[in-house]
Amino acid sequence: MKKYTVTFLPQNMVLEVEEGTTLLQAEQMAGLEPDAPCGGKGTCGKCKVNITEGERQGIVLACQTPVDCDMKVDTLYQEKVQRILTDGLSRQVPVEPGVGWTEGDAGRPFYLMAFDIGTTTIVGYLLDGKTGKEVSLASTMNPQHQFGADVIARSNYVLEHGGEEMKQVVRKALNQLIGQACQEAGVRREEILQAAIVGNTCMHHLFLGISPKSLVLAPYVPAVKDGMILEAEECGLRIAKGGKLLLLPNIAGFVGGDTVGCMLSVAFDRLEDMTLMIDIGTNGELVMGNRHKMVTTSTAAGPAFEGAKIECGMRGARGAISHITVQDGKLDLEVIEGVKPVGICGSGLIDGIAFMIRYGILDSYGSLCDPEDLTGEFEKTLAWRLKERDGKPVFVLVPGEETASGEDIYISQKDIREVQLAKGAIAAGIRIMAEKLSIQPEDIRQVYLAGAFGNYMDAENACEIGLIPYALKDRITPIGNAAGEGSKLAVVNRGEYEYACRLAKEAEFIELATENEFQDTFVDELEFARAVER
Amino acid sequence: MTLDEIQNAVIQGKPRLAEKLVEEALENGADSAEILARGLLGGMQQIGLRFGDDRDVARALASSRAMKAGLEKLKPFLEQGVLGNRGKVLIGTAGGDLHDVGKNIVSITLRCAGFEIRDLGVDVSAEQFVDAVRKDPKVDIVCISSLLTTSMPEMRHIVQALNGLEQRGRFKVMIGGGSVTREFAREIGADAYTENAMEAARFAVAAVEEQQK
Repeated sequence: MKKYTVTFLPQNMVLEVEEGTTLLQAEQMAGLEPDAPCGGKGTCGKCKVNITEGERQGIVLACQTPVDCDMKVDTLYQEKVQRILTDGLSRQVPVEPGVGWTEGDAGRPFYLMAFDIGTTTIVGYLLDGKTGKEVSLASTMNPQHQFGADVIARSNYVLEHGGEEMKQVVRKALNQLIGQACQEAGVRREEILQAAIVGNTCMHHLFLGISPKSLVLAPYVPAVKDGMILEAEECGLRIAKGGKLLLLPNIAGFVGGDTVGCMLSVAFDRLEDMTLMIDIGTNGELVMGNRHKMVTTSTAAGPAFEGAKIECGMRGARGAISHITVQDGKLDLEVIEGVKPVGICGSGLIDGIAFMIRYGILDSYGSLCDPEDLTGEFEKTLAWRLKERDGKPVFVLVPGEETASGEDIYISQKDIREVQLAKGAIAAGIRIMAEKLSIQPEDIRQVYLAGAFGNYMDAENACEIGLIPYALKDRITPIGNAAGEGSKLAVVNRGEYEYACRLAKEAEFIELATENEFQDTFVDELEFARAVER
Repeated sequence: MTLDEIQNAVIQGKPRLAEKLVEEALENGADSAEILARGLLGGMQQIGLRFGDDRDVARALASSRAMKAGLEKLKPFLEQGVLGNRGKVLIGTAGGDLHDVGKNIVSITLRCAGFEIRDLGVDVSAEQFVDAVRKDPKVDIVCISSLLTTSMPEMRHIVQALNGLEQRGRFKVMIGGGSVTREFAREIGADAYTENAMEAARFAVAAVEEQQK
């Protein structure tokens, strides 16, 4: 078998690979952790790289390009620096972590580490063990991404190849975060006496090396639900000798410790007002209730709001159109870091669709109109944006001459359908939960939006498109990284960890797939109630 | 033309409008079988023609619901035997999968196309499929759907179990759903993979006509 040399830039990583190895595989071998949400099927288009030297030059999909000569490859074609949310609304609790130095060392400072393992990103917070104050934080992309973007893809990977790799890469990432956070704070990792982890059920299982099989096969139940206190060392975490690791409990296959962390951060079962908490990611996790009763569910919202499956979609990184408004009779776009736009991220997509609803470009069934249907002076200036691409209607946000790639950035009819499916699933979930609690959606007094997306998206526009009931548009509060806050509370106060375990048991889980009403409700919610009926 | 309007109501996925138009057509003396074939099913067919083979789930869902609403209004007026005279279809989602959105769209479309449907529901095991086929010699087509890629091994298992039956020559096996491809159908020994509900209906009609020859 012939071998060729591949040089990855800007890392300047040189690798010899066998002929026929794909560039994506080569990147993985080089430890570059490339972004390949579809798992290398050639469908998502996110693994693009630029071949700068070789027989074929130019931009290609790494997963579809076999190495057939010596190559130089620029991997920075798609900028991967992301905005990772690390702030949250914090609740004050006494510092009683349940650990400390023994034998006369009691006066020595010690530290605690709280992790939030997300499907996409991992955040680690280093906290002072005496004061509970955050001393530093570190974050990284979840390296499991190279095996698949979402929990289903990753579970499939584990069912096919075993879970060892998946377990090792995430453990390695946590150790790196510990290293980074310690370095920043001038602390030694041996001074960390306890760590805590929140994560969705799949992340929890993959970290522990438990098969995710039961999560992805009906009836979608976790193999392990209860919270756990483990020896950190046994889980491969390098902290103080004898250091403990707390894992927050799971509620269901798709409602995990991250949701429990969110509930903990607001002390959900002590809330007086009827509250809806939403954490939108690939799955939209919902909690509804108050101190009398809590129900929780997960909706298969799909990755549309993370920019996946959207033709010009991308995550909330440099070059993403993150907000769209109308200023002085013109469409105004906000681009992350103010560079030439590269694509559109979830918050931009919501704004774009809300805009199209407001100006009659979309009808209630989600169809783009013809340019002739536009009435009104401003609307008519938009006519040129309604185009056809490969025979399918699109709405152009930025013409090719103003974009980074030279291609138009647009929202296609198909993208709109993806958004309809995503928002329909969440909105239907909200309605079914309200029915379980015998309330109307309007009876909800406050809506908490957890997570990065909830923080960046425009709440009013989320209501305009019907993701959240319109009646609630003035009752919405973003609460930041509530899951991470929950992780911090648990690591700082052992009683809080125990409280989290109780919360997980108290919440009643609703499996939407087996709810008779769900499908009809879902179809109802596919419509854009606030759009014109044409 | 009311039939065209009914078609449009289905295309646009407007259940209330479809109901109203079906009632009007009946009052005006339109033939119930015509309303079914040209109006409701015709609308579903148009979607395939107009929008190509794009898997537009949101639209297909809305349209199938409009079709279902229209059919419910129409049912009392259909002559005995118009529904269910084409043949019998057994349908279910593969074991491990609770997602039945796609399956239900196919179900309602096949019903409108004149098939009798026995719906085994979600999370159906190979044993349940085999048992149902054994007990019912009238089954012409078995449809299996799966959305999650994780239930594909189970789908393979089901098709293998069905292929092992001695009466296998008497029925066809058709698979579909988000995770499935034509290649996969061939690989596991299913007779057909269909991309959307109308394609499923076309295959089903062709299959029973073939059988009757």
